[in-house]
Amino acid sequence: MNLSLKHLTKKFGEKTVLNDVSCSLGEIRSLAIIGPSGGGKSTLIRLIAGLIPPSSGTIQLDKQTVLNDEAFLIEYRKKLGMVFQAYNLFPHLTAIENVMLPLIHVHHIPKETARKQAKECLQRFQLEEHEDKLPAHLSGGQQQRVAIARAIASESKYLLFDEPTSALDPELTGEVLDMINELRQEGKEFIVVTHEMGFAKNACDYVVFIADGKIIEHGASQSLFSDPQTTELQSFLSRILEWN
Amino acid sequence: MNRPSLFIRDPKKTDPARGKIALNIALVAAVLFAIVQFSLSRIDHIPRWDQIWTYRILFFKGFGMTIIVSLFALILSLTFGTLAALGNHSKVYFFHYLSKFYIELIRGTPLLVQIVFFYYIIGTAFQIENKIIGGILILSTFSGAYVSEIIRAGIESIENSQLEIARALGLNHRQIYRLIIYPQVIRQVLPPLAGQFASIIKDSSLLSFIAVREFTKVTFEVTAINFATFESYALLAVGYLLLTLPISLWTKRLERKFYYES
Repeated sequence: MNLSLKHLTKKFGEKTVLNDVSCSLGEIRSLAIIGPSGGGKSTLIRLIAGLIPPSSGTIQLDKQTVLNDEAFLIEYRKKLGMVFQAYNLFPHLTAIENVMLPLIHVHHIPKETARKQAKECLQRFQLEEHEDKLPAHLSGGQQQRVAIARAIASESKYLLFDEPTSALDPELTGEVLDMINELRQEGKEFIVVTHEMGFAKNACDYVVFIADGKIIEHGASQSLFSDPQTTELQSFLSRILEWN
Repeated sequence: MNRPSLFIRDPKKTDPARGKIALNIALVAAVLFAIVQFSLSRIDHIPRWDQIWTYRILFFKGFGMTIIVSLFALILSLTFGTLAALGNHSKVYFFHYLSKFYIELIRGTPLLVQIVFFYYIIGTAFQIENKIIGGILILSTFSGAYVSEIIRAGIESIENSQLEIARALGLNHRQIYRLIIYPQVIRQVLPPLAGQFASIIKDSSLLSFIAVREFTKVTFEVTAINFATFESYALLAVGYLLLTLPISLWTKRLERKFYYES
């Protein structure tokens, strides 16, 4: 994917969360956004997903400018599969119904075909035994995997993950990251906001480091982690890797 | 470590045997019966149950009127309650404050005061001559304020994150309401609404004050003739229980069902 941010600023009331961010990334397959909490990571991915409008500046994804127009945005969001930190599934629908919902109502696939597709997709990720369970009866990891399966079933062009494992304990984190990595190996392109540095380093080609509303540093993941240039990133990494 | 309490039952423990349940229920019933019998003997009262039979048609009509008034009041109060809940969420401040005033004024004053006020002052001014219609209107205005709070709680129980996810999936505004919000609000509000219906049935007894000939009013009339007060009021209590107990049991079942599902 090609992602280009031009003078991107986002304010919530008086608070500036992203401050005049610009960068141009070409031909990236998997992008990790890292940085301290409150630095603007989640805001950036929400902007890219077209869920919130920027205060000023523009975003281009594959040369297409994201317009602040609801009709455009509804079409735009269909191409992206977004997975949030937690509670991605609608609590009143079973796992398979959650996967079917966008197929039927967003992609206008007939119900029976949608059921078949959803079933195949859940099978693929070894989730078929849970298909008739309500989200409350699934573990956090299973919920996240069903949410990812839903994004895959909808044939989203790109996947966007906003801290997909930060609400999970380490064991469940592994099963979700494994699934994302599996998708990467199949060539699925994605952007992930994450605190899992090992994952950013090993499963993502490119990394953007954000702190205090600015992109401080970005680069290919191997070199960025082995040879951080800025003092901000150096101290961030040393703090985070202290116990790893 | 939680130590088992002496008095509080552990909700996780399985229900006791059927025989044990039946025995305890019978015991409670026997105690209640004994208290009533003792009271009656103290006042040397010999029950005259034949009086109920004599006035059965009147009782029956009153019972029917209570059902009719409550049903219509339920339907109307759903309308009032939904409008007030929407008004409360409205961007137009006039509607917002209108529903705020409505809810607070109604919930903060006794129903009896409202009945007298609306019926004798507003009803007379606007020439609502039909007591039954007037009664239904007052009862639904009263209940509507509570219904609106039930609906508001139902809407607010849906977390914002769900709306964001729905948008991220590409659902439009109408679909979000139809597929995500509406079905969840219904589940959320059904049990308390059923409870509200039971309240309406009981509260409708106050309409006797403006001479709507429902169950309670009829009982007043009968006792004024035959002085069989104990018998008539016993029937009155049983009549209301016949309506409210099934609703109460149904409410509990709904609550359990939705509790396990969410």
